[in-house]
Amino acid sequence: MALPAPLVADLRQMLRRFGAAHGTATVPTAAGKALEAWLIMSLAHRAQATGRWQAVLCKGDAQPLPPAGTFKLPGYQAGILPSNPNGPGFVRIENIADPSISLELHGGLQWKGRSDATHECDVSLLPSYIATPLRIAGGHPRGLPIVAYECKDRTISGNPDEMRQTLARMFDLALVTLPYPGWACRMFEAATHRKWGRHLKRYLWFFGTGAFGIVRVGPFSKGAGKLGRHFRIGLHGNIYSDPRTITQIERKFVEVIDSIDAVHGI
Amino acid sequence: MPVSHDVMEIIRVLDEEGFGFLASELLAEVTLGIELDLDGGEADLEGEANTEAAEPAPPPMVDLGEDDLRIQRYFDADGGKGGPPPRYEGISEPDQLAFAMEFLRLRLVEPIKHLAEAEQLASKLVGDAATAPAAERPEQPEGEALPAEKFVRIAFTSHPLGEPLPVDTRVAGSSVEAEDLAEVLQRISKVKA
Repeated sequence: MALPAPLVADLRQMLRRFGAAHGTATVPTAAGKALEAWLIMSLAHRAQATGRWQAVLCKGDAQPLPPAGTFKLPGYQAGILPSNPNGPGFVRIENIADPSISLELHGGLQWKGRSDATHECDVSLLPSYIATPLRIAGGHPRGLPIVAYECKDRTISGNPDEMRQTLARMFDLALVTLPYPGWACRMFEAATHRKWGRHLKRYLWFFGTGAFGIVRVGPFSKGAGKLGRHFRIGLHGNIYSDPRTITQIERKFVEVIDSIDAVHGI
Repeated sequence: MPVSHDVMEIIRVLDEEGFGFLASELLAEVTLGIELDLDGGEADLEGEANTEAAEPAPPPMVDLGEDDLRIQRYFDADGGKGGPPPRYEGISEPDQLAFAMEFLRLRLVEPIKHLAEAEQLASKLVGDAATAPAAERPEQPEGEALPAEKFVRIAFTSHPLGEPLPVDTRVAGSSVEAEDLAEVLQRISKVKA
């Protein structure tokens, strides 16, 4: 039986109006970017709500965004770009009791792995100590983020291959092997040789300190769960349908940033 | 299970109105059906009600050390060789329209509603609210709307050498077009096959 013609006409009209208002929604990657933006702001807001952290939206030149400004997130993969007020911004999250603990929450940031391959992390957290020198001439942070989430806007279930992809990325990023003799650290920046965080000898120890996960609109297949849980990669499915999902992600995020100390990092 | 005439019409409308990528995804998902062996994710691991269904304790940690070949064995151990393939159940023709509308709600409506929420959250993190010490930070009472002129807009940058992204004309912090679309989807989902 055909759908009533007036209803089909309404659908066409609404889709046109929707597409005009949300032009980026007509681009295949748009829904994933919207999820990324919402996750970043939810985490920043949650951190600030603890009263222990201050979250500030920053422009691409690291200056605070003014009220009613436009906060830009990268629509494409890139490392940290040279300082530019019109470039992609980030959220600075600073410890109120100890402002030397200053972190940056980025969207779509590319990290460089031990193989020299670059890997985009949809949402990732790193210390300002590493990000700030990169903003001079641009570049990629190297090592394992403090926090990293993959955002998947697909409704179909996440299969083991998706989990393997995430795991392969983390294996390449984790500095289990020292990048240079004596460089025992979690992450570093190549130009000024700044190093940050503890070196750990085992992948599971690295993955267990910090927060990593896949955030999906749809659910996960059973095979993906087995692999993810062993390697401490969170399975955060049904992000829009199940309010418990974002609550868990936020709680873990706060737990991780609260564990950072000024001397050793994490 | 063959795709119903109604859903094929929805797919055609999506394709003609500039949402071709969603049209092909919807066709694929309706054809595939619903996967039966799902993992509840982290949300399902919490709470006493889920104790019996909780995942068994992970195996003892193995020192993967620096031997990348041992890492490869961990990949191989899990799969593609072991375990049954995922099982799917076809979606009956009467249920396909509701499935399609839920698909569009999750892929079109919810992202925009959550982007609007992101802008509302972002707006609370700028200006005086952001830079003042915590004790002096102006309180924004819960439930009280920010003045429209204080809303931050979230935008995505285009690659300097690539195609520029389409322009959004929406009002920052608003999802009225998404809500109107949701209302139409709701009406369509109630049409009887």
